[in-house]
Amino acid sequence: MWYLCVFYHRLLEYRRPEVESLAGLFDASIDSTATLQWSLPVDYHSDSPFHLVNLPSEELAQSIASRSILVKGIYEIWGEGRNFEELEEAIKSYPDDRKLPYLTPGSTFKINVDSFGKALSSHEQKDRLQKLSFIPFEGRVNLRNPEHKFCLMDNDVCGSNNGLAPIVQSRIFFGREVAVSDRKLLQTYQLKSRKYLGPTAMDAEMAFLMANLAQVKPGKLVYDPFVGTGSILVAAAHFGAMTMGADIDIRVVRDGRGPDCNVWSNFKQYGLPMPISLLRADNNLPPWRSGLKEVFDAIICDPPYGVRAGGRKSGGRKLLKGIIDPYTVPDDKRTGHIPSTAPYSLVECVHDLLDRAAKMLVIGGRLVYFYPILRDDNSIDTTFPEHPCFKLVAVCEQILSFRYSRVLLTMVKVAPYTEDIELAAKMKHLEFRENHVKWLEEGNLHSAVFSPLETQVNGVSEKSSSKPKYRGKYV
Amino acid sequence: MTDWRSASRAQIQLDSPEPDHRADHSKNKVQFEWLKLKYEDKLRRMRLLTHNMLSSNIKGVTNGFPLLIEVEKVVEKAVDFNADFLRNMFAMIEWNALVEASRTVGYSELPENAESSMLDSDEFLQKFHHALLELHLEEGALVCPETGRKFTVNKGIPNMLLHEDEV
Repeated sequence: MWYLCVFYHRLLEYRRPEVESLAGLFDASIDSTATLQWSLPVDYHSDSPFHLVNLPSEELAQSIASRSILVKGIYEIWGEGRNFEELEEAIKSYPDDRKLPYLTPGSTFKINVDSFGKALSSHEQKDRLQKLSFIPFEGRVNLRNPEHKFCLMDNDVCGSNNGLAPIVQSRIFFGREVAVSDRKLLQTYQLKSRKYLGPTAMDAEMAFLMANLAQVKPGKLVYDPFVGTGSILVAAAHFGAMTMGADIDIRVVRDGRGPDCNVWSNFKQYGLPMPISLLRADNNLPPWRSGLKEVFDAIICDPPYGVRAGGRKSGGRKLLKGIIDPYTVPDDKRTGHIPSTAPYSLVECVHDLLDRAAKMLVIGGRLVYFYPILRDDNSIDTTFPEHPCFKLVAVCEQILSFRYSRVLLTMVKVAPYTEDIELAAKMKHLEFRENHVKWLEEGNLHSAVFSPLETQVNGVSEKSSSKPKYRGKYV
Repeated sequence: MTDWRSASRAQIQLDSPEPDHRADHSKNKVQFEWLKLKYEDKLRRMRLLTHNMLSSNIKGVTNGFPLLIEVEKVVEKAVDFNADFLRNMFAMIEWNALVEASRTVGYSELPENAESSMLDSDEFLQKFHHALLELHLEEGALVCPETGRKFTVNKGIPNMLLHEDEV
């Protein structure tokens, strides 16, 4: 059945993939790589918060809304139209057997009046409500605890550029509320009240979205190879998963900022079960035993892109200076030796991540990670990393600055990790090792993001003044 | 009206029985240290599940699994029981390594051999759960069986990073 899915006007590209992922999570019969059927109300832009979605059952709609971060509510539409006359006609022609059970004499009800992009005064609300008097409500009004809730919604058109999606013509919707979401958990988990934070701690809303896209649920094992302060695992643990994390920086995973301010304390703060393990390990040379595979149900991470924080890998000095001579640690200095690390280019980091995930994820397991892209006009059709074991199911962009944005990629493991793939990955690993310096130069996002603007050719100045007015992805 | 500062001072005096007794100060401090230790015990953990997944990845080492355990301090801590998780994990566990590791840290209840049919027994699951998740190596080391290289475990975090010449 088709439902009206109303979203929060945020993170626009993340909204449909989140619902699809949750549909797959709650209904095992939905193929996890398939997409749901979507459509838009007549005249509407896909950036508008009103979307129509075909879901197999009302229970599924309720489950999705209860878990979703970006869904505001899901409604069964009784009627819609460009104006109240059309709305009335539509509601009257909606089948009675769908309406009457909710209008019975003994029941209680409430109608919410809402307009997207505009605050309605109580007077305006009352005006609009009175136009619904043709609906034969027989129950009593109860604003506190009604049995049935209805909603009258429209999209304000004020013509001017108010940052909202351009729509040709507004529509009015009237429907029965099937489920509404609860974003209270974002307040509980907001970063400003978290004890231990790092410079790239993942925002709570995004961390929960990542957990939803990774289909995290109780009893699943979730791994973050760049765990840092644990902000992504906190979200996964909230949804009941067992968590594991690794980081190359031992000060972050082991010490934090003292006994009551570290990764463990972040879990304790919310009463969540502790991670199963935290370890100091290198994503380039992970310490997993060779026979270990298909262990994790999801790998969720935010790799270091080299803009705010750069990646490091083991095997320092000799690579840094380009010296081929073997570097040796004297025997008497082995205990307590602090190994140096080398910079880790994004290309190599993502290669390692995909290869490792292909091996360590169960079939049907999900890899959810951020990938940075430069926002030149030339690179509109960016190609994303690929792997024979994975199918890319969602690409969601979040614009970070004028120069670059990051894209959340959701991949599902669809094929087993074979020996051929392992061999190819090993060859690539050696190639990276040999041409370390070259890759560092090529994958240097930092200079592209922070270099002065003049370097971009002179003609650009005129372009930047005629920036498109509507930039929906910014929200 | 009472100033808030004096109000809170009065509150403190109510809470502590002998507020002016300086001699008790050191005792309080000791207790505080002890509490802190106890608190840390609760948090820091390297479990045998982790041990079962790790190996020595030093260049040239062909059989770096299982790592030997050098125990300095082991802590036991109850963890919520989840049978489904255990059943999922069973398939990937190297049983002999788990038995050996649990003996090293002082738990010898696990049977020598295990097969998936045993997962129906609640008694077995409880033992498996205890060995896998409730025994924590807090201080010690994991030792490479081939080279003897020690990977230290400090505050429950195994340090698996290789030296420059081991990469």
